[in-house]
Amino acid sequence: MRFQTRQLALFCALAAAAVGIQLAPRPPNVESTSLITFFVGVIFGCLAGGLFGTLVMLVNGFLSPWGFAGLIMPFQIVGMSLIGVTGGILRRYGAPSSATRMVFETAILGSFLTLVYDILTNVGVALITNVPIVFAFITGVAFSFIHIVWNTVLFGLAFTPLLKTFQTFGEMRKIADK
Amino acid sequence: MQTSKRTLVFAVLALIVWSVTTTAYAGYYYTQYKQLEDTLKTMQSLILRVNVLINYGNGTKEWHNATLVPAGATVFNATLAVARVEHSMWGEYVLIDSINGVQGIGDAGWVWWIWDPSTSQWKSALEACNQHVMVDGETIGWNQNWTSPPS
Repeated sequence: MRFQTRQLALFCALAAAAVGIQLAPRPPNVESTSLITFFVGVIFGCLAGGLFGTLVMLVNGFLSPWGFAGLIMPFQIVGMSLIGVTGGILRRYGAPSSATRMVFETAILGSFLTLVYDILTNVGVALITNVPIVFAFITGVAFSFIHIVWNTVLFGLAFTPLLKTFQTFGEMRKIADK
Repeated sequence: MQTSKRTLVFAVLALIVWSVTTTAYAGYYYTQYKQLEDTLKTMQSLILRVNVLINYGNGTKEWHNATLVPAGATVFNATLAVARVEHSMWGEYVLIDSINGVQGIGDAGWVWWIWDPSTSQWKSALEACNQHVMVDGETIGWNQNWTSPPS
C-alpha cells in the first residue's frame, strides 16, 4: 500500500473528519464513522480500510465523549476494521451499474456490517461483565436497532452520492469499471 | 460476480440482519415479560382479596367480593375501602357508628362477623375491627346488631 501525496492528504482528511464527527456530542449509536471507514475501504482497498477503522476507533477509545472505552476497545477496533475491509472487498467485486441497486446493496451492507460490529462489541461487554453473550446482545438490542436503522439509511442514502462526488473530482478510479 | 449470485448474497445478508434483529428483539421482550411477571408476583403477595358483606337490616345486603386491600389491612381498612364510614374511638378500639349513612343499633353500633369456611358459619368477632388483620380470601360481614349474623 503506497500512497501518493494527494491520496495521503485525502486519507488524512477523511480520518480527521471521521474522528471529529465521532468525538462530537451526538445521540448514542448515531454515527458516520462506519460509512466513512467503508468509503475509505472502497477508495483505497482492504488494507487501508482496515487501518482506517483501527486508527479511528483507537482515537475514539481514548477521547470518546462517552468515556474511555477500556477493554471493549479491541472489539470496536476489530468491528470497524472489518467494515473498512468489506469496503475494499466491494471495490474488488465492483459496484453495480444501476444507482438504485447500489443504494440497496450499500444499505444492506450497512445494516449487516453494523450488526456484526454490534455483536462483536457485545461479545466484549459480555466477556468483561461476565454475562452470557446472548444476554448482553438482548439487553442492548434497542441500541443496536437504532444503530442498524441509522446505518442502513445512511449507507443507502449517502454512499452513492459520496462516491459520485469523488468520481467527479477524479480522486479515485471508478470501482464500477473494475 | 454474476448478478443473480450477487442478488442472492445481498438477499441472504438482509435476511440475516432481519432474523438476528427480530430474534434479539423477541428475546428482549421475553426477558422484559419475565421481569414484569416476577414483579407482579411480588406485588400480588402484597395485595389481598377479601369479601365484605354489609347487611343494612332492611333486607338489603351488599356484597363487595374480591375487594383489594394491602397486606396488613384490618377489617376497618377493608370496610373503609368499600363504604362511607363514621366511627368513634373507644380507647384504641374503633367502633363503627354508621355505614353509608345507616346507623348501628345499640351502644356498640355496627358489629362485624367473620365467616368460618371450615364450619360454613358466621362467627362473632372477638376483637375490634381495627384489631383484626385480614388474610387473603377472608370474608367478613357487618350487621346492625350483635344478636344475629349478617346473613
